[in-house]
Amino acid sequence: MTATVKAPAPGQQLAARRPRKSKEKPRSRWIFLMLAALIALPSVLPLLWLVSTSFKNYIQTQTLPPSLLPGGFNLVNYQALFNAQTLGYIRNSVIVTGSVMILVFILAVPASYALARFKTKKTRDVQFWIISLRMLPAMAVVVPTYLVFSSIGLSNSLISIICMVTMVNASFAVWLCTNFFEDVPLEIEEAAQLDGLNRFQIFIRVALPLARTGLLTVMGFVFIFAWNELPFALVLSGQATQTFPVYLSTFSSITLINYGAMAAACVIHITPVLIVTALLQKHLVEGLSFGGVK
Amino acid sequence: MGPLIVFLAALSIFPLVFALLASFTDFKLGSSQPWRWVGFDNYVSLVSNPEIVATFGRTMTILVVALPVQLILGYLIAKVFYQIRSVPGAGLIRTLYLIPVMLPEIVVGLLFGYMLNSRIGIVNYFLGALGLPRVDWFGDPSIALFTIILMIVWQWTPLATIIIYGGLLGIPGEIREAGQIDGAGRLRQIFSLEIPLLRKVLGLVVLLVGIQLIGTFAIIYITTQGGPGSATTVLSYEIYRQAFVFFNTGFGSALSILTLIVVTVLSQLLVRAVFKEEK
Repeated sequence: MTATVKAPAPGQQLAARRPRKSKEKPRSRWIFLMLAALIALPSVLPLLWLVSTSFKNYIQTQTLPPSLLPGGFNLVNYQALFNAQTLGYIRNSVIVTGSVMILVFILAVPASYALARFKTKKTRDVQFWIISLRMLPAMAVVVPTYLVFSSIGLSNSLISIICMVTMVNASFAVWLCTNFFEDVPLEIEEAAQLDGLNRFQIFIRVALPLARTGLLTVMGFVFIFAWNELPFALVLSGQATQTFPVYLSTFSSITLINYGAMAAACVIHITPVLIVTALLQKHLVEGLSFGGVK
Repeated sequence: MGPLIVFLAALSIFPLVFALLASFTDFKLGSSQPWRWVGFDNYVSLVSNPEIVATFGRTMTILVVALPVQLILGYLIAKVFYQIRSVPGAGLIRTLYLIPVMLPEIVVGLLFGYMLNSRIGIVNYFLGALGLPRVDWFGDPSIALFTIILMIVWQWTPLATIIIYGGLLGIPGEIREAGQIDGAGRLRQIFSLEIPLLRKVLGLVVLLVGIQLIGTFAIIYITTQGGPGSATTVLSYEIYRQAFVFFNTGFGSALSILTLIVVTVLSQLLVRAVFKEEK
């Protein structure tokens, strides 16, 4: 065992560190804060436009000058989405996302613990191979995958989508979770060992609870990635197994005219994404950088 | 660890073998005609068909335009966020700035498709109101690829930013202070202190963003479908079209295999160059 005790994860560091002796004057901080707000504006404005559009009627989305506000909460676009078909797409998405999260947890978390605790050249190579699976353009992987699943008659089932989305996310999860398990102080585990716990008990009763925050962060990201996934779902789904993103992609026709309906469907799709993003706020830096900032 | 490796190996090796075999055939999905071995025909036509070569060219255009833009913008914006890292409220602004990264590309494509609509889009309306010429964002073959790059940059620059920001936070304060005591100028500090220290982080950005760019698919599928003409037909979209629209499965497989080889070689070279000592 060559693992050493590492500094806390970056996210924790950021919060704890730097009560810094500032060389900049408060005024320059205000300038930078304003500048940052200005930079964030282009990220937010299009979304506000999307929400506004979702409350407009057909005429309002087609006329110039565009009305910035819908002028009331016209729910007609949302009501139109409440039909058996659309709810079916949402159900498919929920099944895929839920199954992927469970599978990723079962497959990736114990593996990450093993990778974190038994470090050899070989495990490092395994880790590299696992992450490299995520580093491939999805569409180039989709064709081979489709060939396999269609040859065993699973090309129109949710199972094939769940398998592939799990594969992509498991590799991401292993990479991050390994970092989080490395942050669990070895001394605590050694103490537990002296108390007579075996490896498995230590994993369940010591390591898992201590790495909890990190693991929840990873699962939050897995939720977002699985919920948003398009390429695999697009190719591997049939009529009855379309996920919500595949349904969204049917708006893509270049002759699209019903922008209100499109916007309402988009808002429904991104609402859970935004909620999870808000919950993850403190951990976005570590999560999005693949833990690579260490 | 066992179950995971079996699962991942099964899902990566079987498809790869299948695709490799298919790439040497004229297999057509859903066709009743028997397929034949065609040797390297598919690969030969990959490099001899000017349409396909142009597809590679467009993918490279996206890469060489969007990657530097995202790196430079990402670095500058990361510096701004670094300046206010401990100011209350900065965290919220950072999260808002990051939202595009969390959105599915389909939503980005649909939303921008509406905003950049040449007739009723809000962007052209404002351009007109400012007395600027209106732009045919998706319809003009010389602009469409640029529009795609614009949407990509909008969505993914925050990812580059946040990784670089994480890297800036990781530079120990003492090193910075040492640089200041040595009297290094601001530019000097950036180029001979900060950037070398950020080497791995910048390498990670190039890797992640680069692969993302080579794989550009959903945003094109949703907005231009490769058009007008073939102005925005990039590699991933061509794979999709060949395999699932024209059902040229053998040819699509060859294109997939070639893409995987190119991406793997490029990323391995980068990993070796940047992360060498780690191994």
